[in-house]
Amino acid sequence: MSDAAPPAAIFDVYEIDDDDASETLIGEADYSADGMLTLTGGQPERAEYLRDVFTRVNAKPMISELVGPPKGAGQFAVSTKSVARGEAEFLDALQGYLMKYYGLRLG
Amino acid sequence: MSGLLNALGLKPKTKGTPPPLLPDAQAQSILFRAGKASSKAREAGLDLGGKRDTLRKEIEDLTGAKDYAKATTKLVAFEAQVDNGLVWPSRLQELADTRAQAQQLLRTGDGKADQMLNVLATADREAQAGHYTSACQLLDGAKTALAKRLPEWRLVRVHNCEMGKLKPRLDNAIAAIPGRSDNRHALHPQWQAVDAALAGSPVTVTDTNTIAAKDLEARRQTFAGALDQLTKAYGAMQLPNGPQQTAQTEWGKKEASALREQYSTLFQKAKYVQPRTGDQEELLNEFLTMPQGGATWAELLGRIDAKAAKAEQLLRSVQRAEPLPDEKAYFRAYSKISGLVKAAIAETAKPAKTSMADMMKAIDDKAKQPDTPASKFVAQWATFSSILESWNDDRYTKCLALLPALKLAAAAAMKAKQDAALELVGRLNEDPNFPPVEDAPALPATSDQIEQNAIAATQTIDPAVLKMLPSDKKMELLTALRANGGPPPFDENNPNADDPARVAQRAIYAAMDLDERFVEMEKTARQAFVDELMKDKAAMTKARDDWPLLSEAERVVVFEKIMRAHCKAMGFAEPKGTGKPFDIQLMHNADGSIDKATDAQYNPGTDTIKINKNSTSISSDFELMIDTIVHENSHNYQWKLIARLNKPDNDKDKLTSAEDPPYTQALMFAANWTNEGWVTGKENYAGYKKAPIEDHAWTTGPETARKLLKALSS
Repeated sequence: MSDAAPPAAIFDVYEIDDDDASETLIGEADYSADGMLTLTGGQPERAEYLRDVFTRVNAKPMISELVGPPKGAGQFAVSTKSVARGEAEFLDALQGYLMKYYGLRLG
Repeated sequence: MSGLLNALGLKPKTKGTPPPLLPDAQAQSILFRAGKASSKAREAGLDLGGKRDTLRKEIEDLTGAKDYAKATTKLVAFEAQVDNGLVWPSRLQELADTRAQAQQLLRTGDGKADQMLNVLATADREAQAGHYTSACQLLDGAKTALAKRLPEWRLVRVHNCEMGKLKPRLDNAIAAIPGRSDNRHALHPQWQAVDAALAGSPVTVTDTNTIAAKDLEARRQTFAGALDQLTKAYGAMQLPNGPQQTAQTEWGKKEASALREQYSTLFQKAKYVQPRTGDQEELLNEFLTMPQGGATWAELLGRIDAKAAKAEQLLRSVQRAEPLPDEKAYFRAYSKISGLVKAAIAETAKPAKTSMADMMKAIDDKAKQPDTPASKFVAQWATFSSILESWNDDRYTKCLALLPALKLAAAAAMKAKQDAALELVGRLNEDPNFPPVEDAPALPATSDQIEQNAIAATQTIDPAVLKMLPSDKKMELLTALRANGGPPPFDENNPNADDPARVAQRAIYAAMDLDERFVEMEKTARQAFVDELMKDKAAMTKARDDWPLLSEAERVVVFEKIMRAHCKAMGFAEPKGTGKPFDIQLMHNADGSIDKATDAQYNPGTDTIKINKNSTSISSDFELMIDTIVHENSHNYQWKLIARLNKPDNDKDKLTSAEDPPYTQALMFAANWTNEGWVTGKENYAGYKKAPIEDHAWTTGPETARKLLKALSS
C-alpha cells in the first residue's frame, strides 16, 4: 500500500465551443499537489485528445502568459509572465492557459 | 416473394447462413482461409510465438484427415490469433492507460488494483509470447473490472482530497481550542461531535474493500459540519484579554489560511465559470469582486465563508449535463444581442446601483408604468427569463423563438437614450454658450469648445449607450476630442492618466468593439490559415512536439511558416523592411543595458518583427509562440491597412469604403495609430488592451493559436 499524498483537486473538464462558447463535459482530471494533470475519466472518444494535451502541459516546467509591454518598451512590444510548477499561482495559470490555447475549462 | 419460390420448389437464400459446403469444397475453404491468415501474419511480421507455421500445418493435417470439425475450430482460433495480433499494436495505448489507472487506484488502497495490475502484466506477457487472443481477452477483462471500480474510486479520491484540506483545520483546532477532556467546558459538546464524526470518517481512506465508498461523502460532510460548528463556537467566544485571547487570535489567523485552502478548489472552479445567462454573469461578478481581506480575523473568516457560499451558488447555477435541444443555436444567437439586452437591463434598473435588491425594485417600479418601452421590455424580459430558468428541456428552443421580440423590446427601451446620445454627438461642433434656437442656427464652436464638448459627451453618455452608437459616430466623437491638436500625449515619466481628455479617449476606445464584419472575415481567414499550415501537418506536429529542442534556425523556419500562412490567409504583405521578416537579436533598453523583459515587438519603422534572443518563453512554449507571432504580425497587418487608407485617391490599391470589411476597422486602427492615440499599459492597462490595435492583436493571437492547436490534435 502506498501512502502517496492525496490529489490536490479533482476537476471536470469542459470543452468550449469556439463559435458559441457553449460547453461540453468531456472528461475528468486529477490535479496533483505537484501540478500534474491526469485523465481519470470522461468520453472515451475524447480521451486521446485530452491525454495528449495533458501530456504536453505536464511536460512544461512553467506556464507562460503574454502580457503587455514592459516599462519603457515601445508600442507593439509584448513581454511574458511565467509561473513555475510548484508556485502557488500555478493552477490558476494552468487553468487560464488551457482555456486560452485549448478551449478547455477545468471546473 | 418467398411464396413464389416455394411454389417453384426453390428455397429463398437467407443472408449469413450459407448452405453447408460439400466435403471437398469445405476442405478447400479451410485450406484457403488458413493460407490467407498465415499470409496476413507473415506480411505483418507476426510469427505468433514461433507457432505460425506449426498452427497452419496442424490445420492442414486435420483437413487432410477429413476431421473438418477440429480443423474448423483450430482455424477459427488461428484467424482470431492473427486478427488480434494485427490490432495489438493499436491496443498498447489502452494497456498503458489501463495500467496507469490501476496504479492510481492502487494509490487509494483499493485491493482490486493489485489483481488488475497482475492481469495486465499477464496480458503483456501473453502478447509477447504471441498469444494475442488471450492478451486481448485479459485486457478487455481488466478494463471492464476497472470501469466497475471507477465510480467508487472517484468517491475515494474526492474524499481523500477534501479530507486533506480539512485536516489542517482540525490540527489547528486541536492545538488551540480547549475542551476536549474538560467536561465542564462550554465547547465540550462540539468536540464530542467532532470526535464522533472522525470515528466514522478516517482522514484518508486506505482500503475501500472495508469502507463503503458511497458513505464517504456523507461521513465527510458530517465531519466538516461538526468542525465548522466547533470553530464557529470558539470564534464567537468572548475571551478575556490575556493569553486566552492571544491564542484565539493566533487560531483565527491559521484558521483563515486553512479555510482558504479548504475552499481553494471551489474558488478556482468558480473563477473560470463561463456565464451563460445574465444571472450567472451577475453571480460571477459578485464572486470576483467580493472583498478579500478583513480588519479582524473574525471578519476575514466571515468573508471567506461568504465567498465560498457565493462560489457554490454560482457553480450550482451552471451545473448541467449534455447540451439541450437548440442550446448551441440559442447561445450563438443570444451572444449577438447580449450587449443590447444587458444595456437595457442596466438602463431599466436605474437609478439603483447599490444592490441587487435595489435594482430589482427599480425594475419592478418601471414595470408598473403603463405601456412604456421600459415596461414592455421588462415584461418581455421577465417572460424570457422565466422560461430560461425553468430548467425544462425545451427552454432553449422556446427562448430562441423569443429572441427577436426581446431584441426589439430592448432596442425600444434604449431608443430614447440612444437618440439623446446621437443628438449630443450631432452638436459637438456647436458653441455650448449659444445653443440653437428656433429658426437660428447654432454658432460654431472654437476648437477648444469642440474638445470640451467631446469630453462632456463621453461623461454624459452611458458607456453601454456609447457602445451601441454607429461606428462613424464614435469616430466623430474621437475627431472632436482631437479638434484642438489632440489629447495631451502621455508621458511615461509623468503619468497623467486622469487627464479628462485621456479618460475620454479611453472611454471612446472602450466603446469601439471590433467591427463585426471584420471579425467574421478574420474568422473565415483563420480557417484558411490553419488549412495552409495543415498541408504539412507532420512538420507542424514535429515542431509542436520538439519545440524546446529545436535550434534557433529551425525555430525561425516555423516563425516564417506561421507568419506567411497568416499573411496569405488575410491577404496582406509580409514584414520585410530589412529584407527579412524576423529580426532575432538581443534587445537593449534605452540606457544600453540588455532588455530581459521584452519578448517580441513589431517595428513599423523597419517593418520587421523583432524577437528577443533572451525570450525563454518563446523558445520553450510552442502555444505561446504562435500567439506571439500572430499578435505581432497583426500589428503588421494593421500597419499595411493604414498604409492603404493613406494612398492617393487615384491609386487602385487605396482602401476605400467599397472594400468593407476591412475599411471600417482600418479607420479605427488609423485613429488609434497616432502619437496622441496610444494608450500604454502604464497609463491604464485595461485601456491599453481595449484600444483598437491592441484589442485586435490580443483577440486574434490566442484565437488563431487555439484553432491551429486543435487542428494539430485532431
